Amino acid sequence: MNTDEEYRRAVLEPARAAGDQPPEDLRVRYMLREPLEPAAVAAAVKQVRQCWRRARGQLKYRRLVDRLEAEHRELAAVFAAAERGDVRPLAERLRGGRERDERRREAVRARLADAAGALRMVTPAEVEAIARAAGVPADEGRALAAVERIDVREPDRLPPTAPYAAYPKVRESLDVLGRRHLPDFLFGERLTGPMRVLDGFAAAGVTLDAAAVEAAVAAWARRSRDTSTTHAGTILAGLRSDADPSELVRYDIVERLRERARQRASERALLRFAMEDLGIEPGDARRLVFAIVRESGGGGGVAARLRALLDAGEVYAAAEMADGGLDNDAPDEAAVLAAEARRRVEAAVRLREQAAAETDPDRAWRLLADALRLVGDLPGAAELQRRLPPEPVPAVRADVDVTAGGTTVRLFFEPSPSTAGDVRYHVVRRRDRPPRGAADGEPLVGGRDERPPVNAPLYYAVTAVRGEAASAPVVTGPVVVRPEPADVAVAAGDGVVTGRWRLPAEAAGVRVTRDGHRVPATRDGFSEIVPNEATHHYLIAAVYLDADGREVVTPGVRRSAAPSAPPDPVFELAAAPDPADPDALFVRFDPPGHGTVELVLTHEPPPWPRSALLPVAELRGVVRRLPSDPAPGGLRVRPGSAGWIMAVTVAGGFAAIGAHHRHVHLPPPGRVVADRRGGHVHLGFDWPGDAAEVEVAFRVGRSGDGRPVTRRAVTRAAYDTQGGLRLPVPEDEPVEVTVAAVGTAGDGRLTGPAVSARVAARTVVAYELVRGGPPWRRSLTVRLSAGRAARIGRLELVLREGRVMPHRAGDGETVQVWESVPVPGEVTVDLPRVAGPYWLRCFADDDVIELGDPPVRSLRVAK
Amino acid sequence: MAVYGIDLGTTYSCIASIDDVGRPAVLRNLEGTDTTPSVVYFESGDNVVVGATAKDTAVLDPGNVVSLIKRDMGRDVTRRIHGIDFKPEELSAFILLKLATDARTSAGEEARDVVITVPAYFGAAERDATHKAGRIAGLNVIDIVSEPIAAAITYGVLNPDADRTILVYDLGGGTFDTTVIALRGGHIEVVCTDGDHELGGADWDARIVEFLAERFLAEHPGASDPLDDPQTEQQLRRDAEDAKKSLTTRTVHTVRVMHDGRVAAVELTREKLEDLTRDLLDRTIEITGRTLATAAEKGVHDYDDLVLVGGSTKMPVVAARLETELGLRARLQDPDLAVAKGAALYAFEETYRRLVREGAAERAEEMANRAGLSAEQQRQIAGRTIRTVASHAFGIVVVDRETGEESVAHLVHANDELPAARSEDFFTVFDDQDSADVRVMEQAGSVESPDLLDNNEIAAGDIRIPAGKRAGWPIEVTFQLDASGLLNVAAVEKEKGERLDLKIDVGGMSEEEVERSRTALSRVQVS
Ligand SMILES: Nc1ncnc2c1ncn2[C@@H]1O[C@H](COP(=O)(O)OP(=O)(O)OP(=O)(O)O)[C@@H](O)[C@H]1O
Ligand SMILES: [Mg+2]
Repeated sequence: MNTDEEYRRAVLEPARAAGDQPPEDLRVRYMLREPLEPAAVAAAVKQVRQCWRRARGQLKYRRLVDRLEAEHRELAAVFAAAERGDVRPLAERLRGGRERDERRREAVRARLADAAGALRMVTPAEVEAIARAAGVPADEGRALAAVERIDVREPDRLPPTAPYAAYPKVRESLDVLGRRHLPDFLFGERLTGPMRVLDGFAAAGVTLDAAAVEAAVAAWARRSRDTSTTHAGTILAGLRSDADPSELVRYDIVERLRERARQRASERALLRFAMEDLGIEPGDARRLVFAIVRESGGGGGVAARLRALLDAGEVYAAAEMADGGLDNDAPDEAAVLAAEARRRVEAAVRLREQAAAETDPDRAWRLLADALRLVGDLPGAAELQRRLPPEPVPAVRADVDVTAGGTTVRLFFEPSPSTAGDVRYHVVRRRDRPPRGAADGEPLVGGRDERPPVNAPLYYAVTAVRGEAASAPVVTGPVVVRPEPADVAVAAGDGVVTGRWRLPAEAAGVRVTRDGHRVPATRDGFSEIVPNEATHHYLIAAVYLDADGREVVTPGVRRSAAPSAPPDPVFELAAAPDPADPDALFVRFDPPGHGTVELVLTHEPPPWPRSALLPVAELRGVVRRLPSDPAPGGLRVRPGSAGWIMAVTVAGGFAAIGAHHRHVHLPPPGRVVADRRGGHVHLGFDWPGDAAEVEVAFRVGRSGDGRPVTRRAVTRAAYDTQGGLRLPVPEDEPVEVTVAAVGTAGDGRLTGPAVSARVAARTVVAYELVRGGPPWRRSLTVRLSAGRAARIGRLELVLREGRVMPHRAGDGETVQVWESVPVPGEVTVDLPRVAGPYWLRCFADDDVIELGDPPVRSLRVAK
Repeated sequence: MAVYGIDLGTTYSCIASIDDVGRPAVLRNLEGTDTTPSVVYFESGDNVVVGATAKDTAVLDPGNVVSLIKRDMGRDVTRRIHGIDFKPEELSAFILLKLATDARTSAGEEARDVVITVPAYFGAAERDATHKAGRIAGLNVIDIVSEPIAAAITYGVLNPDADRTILVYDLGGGTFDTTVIALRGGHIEVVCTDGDHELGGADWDARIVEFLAERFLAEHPGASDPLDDPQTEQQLRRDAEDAKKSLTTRTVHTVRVMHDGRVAAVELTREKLEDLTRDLLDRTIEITGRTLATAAEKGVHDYDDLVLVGGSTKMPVVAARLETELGLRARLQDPDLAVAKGAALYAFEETYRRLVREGAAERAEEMANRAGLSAEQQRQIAGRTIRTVASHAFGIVVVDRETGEESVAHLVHANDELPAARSEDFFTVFDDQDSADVRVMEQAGSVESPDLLDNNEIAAGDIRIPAGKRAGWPIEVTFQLDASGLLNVAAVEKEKGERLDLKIDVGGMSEEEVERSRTALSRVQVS
């Protein structure tokens, strides 16, 4: 299975769900397996970090991966130790991880308990937020809530406004009559047990329906009229209105609880009030209190609801709510919000009316857009806006494009001058008559007609569309598409030309002409006998019949063909290097009877037998033609690389395969460098072309003194592994080295041009550093010796402080320089006074003399 | 034979060469555009499509499309596609191949000898990876050159005979660079450079995408997160880039976010875009400030021009902000193409200089004549020097003998002049030790730190020790950063001063792997 996918599924996704919190358990995070193995840990960490890098390409993982990387830095020391073989710190961490997980879970349980409070209820969003904050997946948060016996549920949506507009009056009357609530008014003593109001009204022994209301009406009708009956009338009017009585009851209860909540009653107090004073069944009471507490975010009431509506853009609803049920003693904030809502609605309504009166649809559109920006739910505005058509496009043009893939009609039009809103364009096509609207015809996508009907008048129309309204169509046409014959191929043979094509089915026929004369042809081809060695030009056109049955001929497709006799092959060929240019070859052959000879290069033996005849195009696909110059008896070429040089004779469209020659590219080796290093000469060069080996020859001594030449064949592998060649050469003799490329061609060995290098003789002069003299005047003597007498042009004694050996005279300070020093011999200086470690070393500036250092211990002074 | 300059960008790439009258000209691709999206689509394991088509396909088949490859260069991260693991070098090679193949079609001759540009802030490993990408693509990489230098060359050619100090601010698709360059008497000298690898137009796009997704979810709270669906994410990236580009000339743009069968029309104003990305722009300003401070330490206080390079500098807020912060009027010179053109000029000039240096004067002359250069111009090119600096500090891992703790000893510091070489002595620890490890590290943060964690390993290798040496045998290792910022390492034993065998692999790929990839990729069809 794909590691990336698995890692995403098992680690990244859960971590993302937990609010981009990486898993605390490093075993999970780094896919570690126990027992911990240093090598396996290192490999897993590397692989996981690569997964991170790849996952980071997806935006949703970016924050998480950045966090993982940041934490990885903190952990780097632990992993570095593991990689070195010490997994103890990592094991320690892994143990710590479990404890941290446990602590986190504890924290979630505590926070859930706090949030649930006396009601033991929380919303799903709260569980998720708590889990996320603590870094625990949401599922686990829910599981922990279940363990704590906390209900996770959405708060019930309570009615924001009264179902009956005059509810405030009803309420007043209930208060005057001393009734706890509507059911108390309706049922009085009969209401014995707790009641449920949330999912419809239910209470033991009573039913809330029209009959119950009518019974109450009848009961009150029997009473003598007084102020009480007036109040009862008010209440009964509410119950008999078209508002559902059970909704009215629920609103009544909810309003009473809201009022308490506004007075900052605690949850516990609200619950007691609901159950004991209002007589609500405990389950409903909990749900009610839960909903009310969540509704206002812990207070605020009307103001909060107004604000929520305004924030959601539902200004109209806010204004209605304010008009419908805002008490006179509503808090200041609510009054301010209500005024704001009303003001915005007024302004928006004005804009809407202005828009309705506006004749220019674009201006009207913008007015409505402004109105909707003020009041998102302004009735009618959005519908009106959707029905405002944009201006039509200024003009449409249709171009017929003929390509290899077929014929396309492309439409060009300027955008509609209407700039307001999101204007889109519909393009349709119809045969025979102009389209009358956006839906009249075949719809086209992207302003292109990829498959236009052939040989029929076509009309195209573009309509600009905004919302549900469309402009008048702008039409272009008629366009008639008459494709040319497709895939036209004309081939020449020996004295014959054949043609082939595909004619569109709609075409009535084809017309072929050669140099102005008609050539008989069928619907899909022709074949004609013509003279060789001349180029013939053909025009192949399709013929269509128009609506009146007249012939219409297309401009046609042009093709040329030059038939010719078949080429004769080259039977034999010889190749020799050009003495003037090492990269060039002279290729000689007898000129064939017919056709032009060219030389081609293949990298494998040519697959065709000699004299084979094949189409030139086929040959060109496989082999490279070599540029060549005419030369006596043949051609001169620079093949550039090894392979088979083959002669092919080309005539007409055919090539005759001729003889070939195996060519090996053996240029002289480039950049030959020969350096003397002690008893060896180091030889380096650029490996020449395709040479299998090189031949190295070297001769010690001056040229002409008759010493033997040593030869060596060196393979490329040997050369590469040793990084050059080491030739043993006496130090005091000059040497001449030549290198040449060697290759095999057929059975023979070929040697390319040689390059030579010369290394002068060297005299090795050994030296010793001898310290002497009395303690107050120490001296240093350089004692020089050699196999034979010599003289050093310039000798320099250098001192370098520190522990690093000087490699060049410039690496240190010069103690003394002597010119023209005889060998054997010695020179003396005062011993330099330097504190701390230092090196001494001599350097000779002389073409033929090389200094041999004494043992390092006499050069290095470690104080 | 012509030589080419390639701007291998994070989001768009471009190839140029010198035309018949000696001017740099961009070669269009087969689709007919100057720049090619740096996006690779694997239709199958052996058929690869690069460019606009690949970018379009990202929306339909995101799993088989790779983009922003440059951000992974020099890192050991592979992408598995159709069951094959591709290294960043190989993915980049596909882009290079596409550029070279299309250039061949439009120029009519093989494009083989190339100079490839990299951000100035690229370190040795990234440069090396780019070099290898070129070789995997079968190209002959003449040199790797920093993008601001290429831009400065274009700039210098357009404004000849003026000695100037310029600040190049390059905000492309994926990287940000600032570089101070002095042009004196035709010579080019980089004073200092700084930047951030992970800061570019793509990050602007990402901010817009997040915003669009957020607004979509606000409108359709019940729908799934658009960013959970890779196809939608790709679509949003395209929409975001379009919106961003359209907001350079307009002030509002509406994006229709479609996901989960739902639509939200999100309006994005230029102001909102600038708000969403303010911190990104702030980061570029901060880095620019840091660069100016470094330049001031090196005695550069006055600037003649601020040159803006990179497509993202077309956002109007960039020039405006730089003008208020730095008081410099920005010059926007061909920000998309200046780098490729400069690279072509550099490739041409460098080839010319190499021919002159190797003594092939007639070939050099012939090349110059073909481009119609006067004798004076030739003299100038032959004599032009380009001085560069190191973009990062680098050094080696050293072990404290007492405590065994590892730390990094820096040998070359950021903004040291290049080429820079430092030698360091090592001593064997055991008798008969047969090899010694070297680990070369590069500063990863914006300032140097000896802590291993604050450095990236850019090369590791081992030195072969001849048999029979006692503990304490001295070795001198020389680390060299050449003028193109590429790393070379050599070791010498100190008794005789002879070279020691050293096998070192810079970056993730060894030479053998490069060769293997080149052969493998030559079988893949790229279009
Ligand atoms: N008009 C424009 N407004 C804003 N951004 C633009 C505009 N045109 C191009 N861009 C952005 O510029 C970036 C491409 O610029 P450029 O081609 O210079 O970068 P690159 O070479 O791909 O990347 P880098 O140099 O960082 O590797 C893209 O992010 C693109 O969205
Ligand atoms: Mg760029």
